[in-house]
Amino acid sequence: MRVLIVDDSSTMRRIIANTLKKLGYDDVVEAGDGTEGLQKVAQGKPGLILTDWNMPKMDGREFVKTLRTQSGMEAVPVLMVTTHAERTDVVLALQAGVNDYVVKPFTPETLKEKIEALLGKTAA
Amino acid sequence: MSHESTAVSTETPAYPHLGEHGPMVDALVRSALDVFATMVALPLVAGVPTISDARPPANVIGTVGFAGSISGLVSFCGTRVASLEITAALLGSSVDAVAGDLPDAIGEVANMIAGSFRTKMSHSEDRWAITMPVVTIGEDFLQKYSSSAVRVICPLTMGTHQLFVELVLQPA
Repeated sequence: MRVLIVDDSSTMRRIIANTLKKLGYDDVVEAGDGTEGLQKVAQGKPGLILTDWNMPKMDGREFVKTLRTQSGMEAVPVLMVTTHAERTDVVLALQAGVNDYVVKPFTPETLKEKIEALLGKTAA
Repeated sequence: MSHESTAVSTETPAYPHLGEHGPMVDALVRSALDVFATMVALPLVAGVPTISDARPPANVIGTVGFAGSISGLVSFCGTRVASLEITAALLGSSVDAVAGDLPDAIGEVANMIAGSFRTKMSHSEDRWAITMPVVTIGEDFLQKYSSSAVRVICPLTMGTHQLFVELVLQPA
């Protein structure tokens, strides 16, 4: 299964990719903002997307809103990984079409549990 | 410049000697400890913060601004050697392989500390925002703020390395 990571921080993309590899997901595609994320989606449909909120050009909420209008992407699981931690932020993210939410800083175990819960499984 | 290095409790540090700034500094120090415990996985011990205009002995500084009912800056400061160790720990790589990743990694550390700090300080009637991180790397520079700014230096110890988080508060 292909996993798309959308984050303007190369460090955060690497941290998430390292966790995904430990879970057995080796087909990882990266994008630095929402616009590039949509380009990557057009090149190959991912089975899971992890996206930051604050990014240049197109932020995470706009990315997910646009993603949800595209054919075949209405139900792809999307996990938002962000420093935005207030209740109102979570509500805004969910309204945009995000399925679940991880607040930075996070432990690898927290990210693993969220991913597995989203994919409805306990192992990759 | 000297900083007291005597460790205080990393669970619930309290800084009554900082007066009204104590709770805010406490939130910042706890944010830094949280980031290191969860993301960096390197032991960090908090020292005693002081109000000071002295420049922390650091040549890598990640800075994030914040604005709400109070505005100011949060900086994460360290030496290049310590910053390389942090970068390597974050990325699960070796120190020899991460020199090019250092600016983004320290920017992300500053971003996470400031984001966690914002969460602790912000509430529904006082929404805080933070800026993108800026990383300064060099050997001979000064950071100057307005004369009315209050500057609190919080020493942190990571193994043999001295790190700092700095809180600069701009009076309204």
